[in-house]
Amino acid sequence: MRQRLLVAGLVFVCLAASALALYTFRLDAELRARFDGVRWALPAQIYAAPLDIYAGRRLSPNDVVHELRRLGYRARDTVERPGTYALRGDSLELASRGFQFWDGTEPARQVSIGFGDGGIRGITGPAGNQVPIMRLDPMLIGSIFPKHGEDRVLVRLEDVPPLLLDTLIAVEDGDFYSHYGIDWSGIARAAWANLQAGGVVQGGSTITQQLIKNFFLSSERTWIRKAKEALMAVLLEIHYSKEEILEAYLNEVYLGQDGPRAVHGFGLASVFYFGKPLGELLPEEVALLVGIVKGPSYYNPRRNPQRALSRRNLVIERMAGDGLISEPEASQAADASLGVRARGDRGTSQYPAYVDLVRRQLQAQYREEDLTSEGLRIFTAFDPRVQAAAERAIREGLDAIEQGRKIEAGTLEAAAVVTSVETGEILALVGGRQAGYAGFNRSLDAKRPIGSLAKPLVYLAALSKPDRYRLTTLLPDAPVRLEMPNGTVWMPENYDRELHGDVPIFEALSKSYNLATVQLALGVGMQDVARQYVLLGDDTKPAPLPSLALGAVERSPLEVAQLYNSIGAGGFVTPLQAIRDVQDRMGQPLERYGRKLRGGPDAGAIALLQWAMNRVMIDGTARSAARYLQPGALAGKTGTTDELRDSWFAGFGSDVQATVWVGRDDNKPAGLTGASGALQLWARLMASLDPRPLDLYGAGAEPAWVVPAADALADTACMDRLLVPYLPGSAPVEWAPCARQSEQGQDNSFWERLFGS
Amino acid sequence: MKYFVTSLLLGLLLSGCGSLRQQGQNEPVWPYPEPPVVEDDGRYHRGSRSREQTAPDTATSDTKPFGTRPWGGPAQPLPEEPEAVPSFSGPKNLRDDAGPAAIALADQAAALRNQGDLQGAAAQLERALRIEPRNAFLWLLLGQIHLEQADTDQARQMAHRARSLASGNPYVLGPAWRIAEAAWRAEGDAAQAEDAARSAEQAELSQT
Repeated sequence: MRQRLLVAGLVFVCLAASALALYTFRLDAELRARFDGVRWALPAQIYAAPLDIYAGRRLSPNDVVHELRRLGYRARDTVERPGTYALRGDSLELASRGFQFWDGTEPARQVSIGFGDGGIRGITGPAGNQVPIMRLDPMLIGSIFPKHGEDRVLVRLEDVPPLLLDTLIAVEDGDFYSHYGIDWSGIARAAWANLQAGGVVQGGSTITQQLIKNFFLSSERTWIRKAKEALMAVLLEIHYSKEEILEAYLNEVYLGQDGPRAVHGFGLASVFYFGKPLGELLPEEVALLVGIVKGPSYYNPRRNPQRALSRRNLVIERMAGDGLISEPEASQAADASLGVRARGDRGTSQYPAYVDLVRRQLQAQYREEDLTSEGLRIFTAFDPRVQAAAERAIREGLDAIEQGRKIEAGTLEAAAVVTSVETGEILALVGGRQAGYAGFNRSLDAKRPIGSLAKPLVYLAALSKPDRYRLTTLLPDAPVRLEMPNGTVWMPENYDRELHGDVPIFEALSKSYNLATVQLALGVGMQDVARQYVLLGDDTKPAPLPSLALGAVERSPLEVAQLYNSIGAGGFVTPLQAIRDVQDRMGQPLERYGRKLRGGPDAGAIALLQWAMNRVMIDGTARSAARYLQPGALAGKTGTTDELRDSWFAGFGSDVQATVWVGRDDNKPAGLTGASGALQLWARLMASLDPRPLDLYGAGAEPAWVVPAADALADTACMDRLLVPYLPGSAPVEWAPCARQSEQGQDNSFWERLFGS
Repeated sequence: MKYFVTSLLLGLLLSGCGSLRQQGQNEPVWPYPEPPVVEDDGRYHRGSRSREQTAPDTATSDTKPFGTRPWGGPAQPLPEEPEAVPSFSGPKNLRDDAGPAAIALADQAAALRNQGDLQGAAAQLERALRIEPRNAFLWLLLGQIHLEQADTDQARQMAHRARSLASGNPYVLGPAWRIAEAAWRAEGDAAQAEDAARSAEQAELSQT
């Protein structure tokens, strides 16, 4: 009986042993498969445009310092370490970080930037040499992480500051370099320490075990899991070097949560908490990050700053105790504040609208798993300064409108798109009033009727026929009655429900008269009007119905921005783009989105249209913009839809275009016209961007003094004269009744030329 | 041949007299004149050297076979007494017309182009165009890069853009039409190419 029991026992032990061996074998395979292919899901990282710094650029010291702060540069008395600066009067000492751009490496530089005459005077290198141009490292504005939300910035072991490594090992796993995955003495020591302290002050898990836990296992606390973890830790140590394990740990360990995004690894944690790269961390910052490892949620420095502070100072004591830093350094570090950036100051979600646009453009070309795991680096045209101006204009503008018009606070929504006229690059995108919150991206998804924003396209179609139309051709602002094919009757009205008689073309546009515009559109032909959308870069040609003349066509703010950017660009159409370049994780260029030009409408017709759209600002529907800015040489158009549901404004200088929409998400009337709503936001925005003026009499147009209401030439005797551009051979030839020439038949042009008219 | 002609063209765009940079012996060279004049006060002085910089026939040794007709087009006798044209006093090449930042980037573009990195060269020129978006010479250089990348459509568009910014400058108009000519020729459209060539010759007559 005893013998049989023994045999059964032996068999059982043998079976168990072989089962364990088999299990170990399987675990081992699983482990190596996972670790060998240690290809972390590396989310694509999206960068803003870097700030170019060169002599002559209109940037104030403040502008540059602002950008440096966004990038986590620190003001210091001595400027030596990359990431520091000192502003001394008109001179900015700067130690820039290097950066591997898509088109080459920008070295770390030590320079002095001189300011004066409203801009940058020059850049001087350490040897007194002039630096013609340099650029800062670009701001990381987002990453495309997968559904389960792991985000990280990969670091290599050699790039990690030794102080961080030493502190981490001292705090988490003192015997890391000597144990075999499990540290029995460590466990005993931890138990003893915990017993003495009457609580858990030290964990028994080695760094290897923690890595396994982060890598494979759920956080359930069972003995089976503990055993499995220990077994795998030993296996890991057999196969891999300490350095490999440490590097993996540094990139894998969980260090915080940012909404749906899990912050993994010290590389991202450094950016997430301090807004700067790992290499620039100060001792107290190193201490905080190492301290957080123990419980990222419990020691969350933003939510539980007091807890985090005492944990950090505990780590600082340890650093001093182990001789990693000197006592004076330690007391200085312990006195420092936590130094954690306000949440959202620089995270993935700070610019959700723009990141959303980039993601959509990428999704058309890359597979989802490549975007979320291949570590692509995406360089965009995003301009943080323009974005800040746009967000502020929307926030303050909407508040002011709601207060001023007694509209219930918080009911208005808005979107804005800012583009570079010359390059077609999208500089900023605001998807809603709460710009920092991801959600309904109105700049891309709010497709609304564009109302009178459609009118410039009608006038463009007309002005493209200089043999029939010029800016002063008189249009009848008279009733329109159209029987539609479906039997209904269309009878549009003017906004003020009045008739204005015969009006010059440019005035019909600047005052936004509906009836004159419809008359003109019917005269030009609706097919021709619809064709202008395609010419200006719109993807879909609208149906050529008469109501198109008044904007019965739905477009998103981004699509409107394309149309208006093309008008601003003077006859050359550049498809709007956000992405400049895509690199793989090794920094090899994958794809470059180069400048593309397309022939657009006739440059001469565009020049005339720009002039007429400038009249909108001077004495048309947008003249109230003068409250915020000099409308001298800007151009734009108001748009208002039925029952005041949508309020639009789009306009440009020669360098920058902005489209703004204001309305309500429930599509109820907002009670605002284009002028009382969107224009107010647009004007605030443009005032802070300081756009360059348009050349209003350029592109081969010939200016002539005329009396617009008579569509005839004027001289100094005419009171209501205006200098209007005409395409060669299309100016009026008759003199207006008020002109002296009309009586005397005398050619006064020589005199006028001398006089300057 | 096309490459050769267009290299010449670039040479003229960028240079007037130009000392060649030291390059690998067999590489295509992008002839370059001296760096811009930076006076002691650190400011760039526009066009301060332009007068002595622009004798087109000294740009590169490549031009020698063509003497004063550097484009290498079909030989046509020049009119004995060309009509008097007003001599042009505006910028004749990039160095006359751009600030030091744009010139530094164009220098980098030239170096990349010489290494055969046309993509990289285009990226630098686009960066320069963000700084000086209305510099016709930068558009011409970018158009030339597109031509060498066999993107004839974009080459032509950029030449067109340069023409729209030329304000009658024959030193822009001439090369712009030459780029258009080469693009049409590469596409096999002889008639359009001839038209462009005639426009180019017209412009070149006004170059002094």
